[in-house]
Amino acid sequence: MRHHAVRWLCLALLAFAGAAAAQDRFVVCEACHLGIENLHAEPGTGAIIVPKVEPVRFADSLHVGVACQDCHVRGYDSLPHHDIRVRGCVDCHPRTDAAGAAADAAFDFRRLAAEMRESAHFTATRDAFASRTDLRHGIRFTVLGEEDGFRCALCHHPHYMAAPAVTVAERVETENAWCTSCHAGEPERPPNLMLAVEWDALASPAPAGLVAQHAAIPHAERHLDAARCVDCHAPAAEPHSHAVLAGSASATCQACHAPASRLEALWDTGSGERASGAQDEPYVIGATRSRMLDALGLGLLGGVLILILAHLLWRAWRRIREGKR
Amino acid sequence: MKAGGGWHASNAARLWHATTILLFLVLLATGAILHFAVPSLGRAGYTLVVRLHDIAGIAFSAVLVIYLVFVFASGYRVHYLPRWHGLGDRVRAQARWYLAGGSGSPPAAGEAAASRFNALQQLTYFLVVFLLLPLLVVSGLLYFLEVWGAGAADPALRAWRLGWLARIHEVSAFAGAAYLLVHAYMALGTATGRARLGFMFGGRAPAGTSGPPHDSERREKSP
Repeated sequence: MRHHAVRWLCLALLAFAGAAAAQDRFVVCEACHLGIENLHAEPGTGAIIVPKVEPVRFADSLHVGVACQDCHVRGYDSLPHHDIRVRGCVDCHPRTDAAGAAADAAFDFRRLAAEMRESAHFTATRDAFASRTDLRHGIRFTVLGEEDGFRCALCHHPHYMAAPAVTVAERVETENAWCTSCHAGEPERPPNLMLAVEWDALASPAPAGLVAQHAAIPHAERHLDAARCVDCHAPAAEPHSHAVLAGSASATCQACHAPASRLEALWDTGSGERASGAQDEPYVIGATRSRMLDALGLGLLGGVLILILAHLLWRAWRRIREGKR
Repeated sequence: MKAGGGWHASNAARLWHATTILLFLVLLATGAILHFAVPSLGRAGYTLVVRLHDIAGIAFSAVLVIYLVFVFASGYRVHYLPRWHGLGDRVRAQARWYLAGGSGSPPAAGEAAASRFNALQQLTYFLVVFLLLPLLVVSGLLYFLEVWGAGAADPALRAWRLGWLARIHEVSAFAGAAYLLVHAYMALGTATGRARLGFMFGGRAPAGTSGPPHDSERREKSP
């Protein structure tokens, strides 16, 4: 009974969408992909599934004003979709309008895309993408502007693109979620992998948990809470580097625990000031020590050594003088 | 205690002293490596240093707590409590004696029968044992707990606490290092002192030396 109701609801939505398509390009896709949550009926089977795009999250995203067909450019006229083509991020970014260009100025998208293609993400998953076929639906897809394989959207979900986090804690949480969606202890298949093949072959979970995975690091849990994955697992030479390294090639401890700490990139808001939440003086041993205290302490030790040396010399001189008498 | 013409210390006292020195040196070295971010340590080396510092710090804290319990439970604390009346004059006299090379009779000899330490030692050890070392240990343990996750849940508050605990720990560590230099120089800088080094290792000082460290004012008659 409920299945019938849902089917009728979907058909009604499709009919409405078809009628409105000429006026609003969103509606056709919304009927199935952005519908009422948990009430989407899959064509053919009628099975109720969660919609492909969560409407509330999409409504909050920076891409809410982008029409579906601006990115999904081919293969969506038929149901099920076939031989689809999707634009990649770098086809639009960096944007050319004044506001968009200003917002994108901090990111060298061409470099980021090139780094990604050299990264472990791309090279280690190349085979998994070889068939370009979604095993569930037999959908063939092509991503424009990128080579086949790992792509931006697998981590940076285009439907839920959020404004950059402001605080350090938010930044750590947001950016680490990009990684843990595949690399956590029990990662869930991310919704933006709807077109990917063999997600199980792509994901590299840490069955014992991330803390156990990082057991070689002292106080691993604190590190995972306070730093981003990329602070260790990506080179620091370029900002926002996407040349994600294999685990064994991650940064050394001194990359963060030294005066020129790569964590400055985490704390830096881009305006030359540290992000709020980082505190005026974030403390990381070796990196944020007080130079004044260091100078005073070393001065104290140096002074003591000089006094000891002077006393030794004075005693030696006195002994020589007494010997002459 | 004097026996057979020389001085000896109990095994427990020597063990406490040797353990304290060893742990303190390990803590100073590993702390300096971590604090000053000594380069060229690999990930494994850095991890080893961190774990050494953590373990040595906990052991040092335990040794200090045991010693303080002993000091207060046994009445040994009387040796550490300076007699405040005229302390300045006695400290100056003792300091002059040390600066002059320790020749002749020490000014405090025979003066403080109730204490095994002279006035300068009393003041120094009082500050070190009851102020400096507890400060070092407490700041280190609180820092360790914050890092371990038993501290503040709010990351901002944790960062603020860590910053201050680290500063207190650093200042007390530098003071401890300075004390160690002076202590070692005064213990080893004279012939008597060098004999005392053998006393600390072997438990006995040869006859004719001025006795074990700290016992210049309280020499028990051998039976």
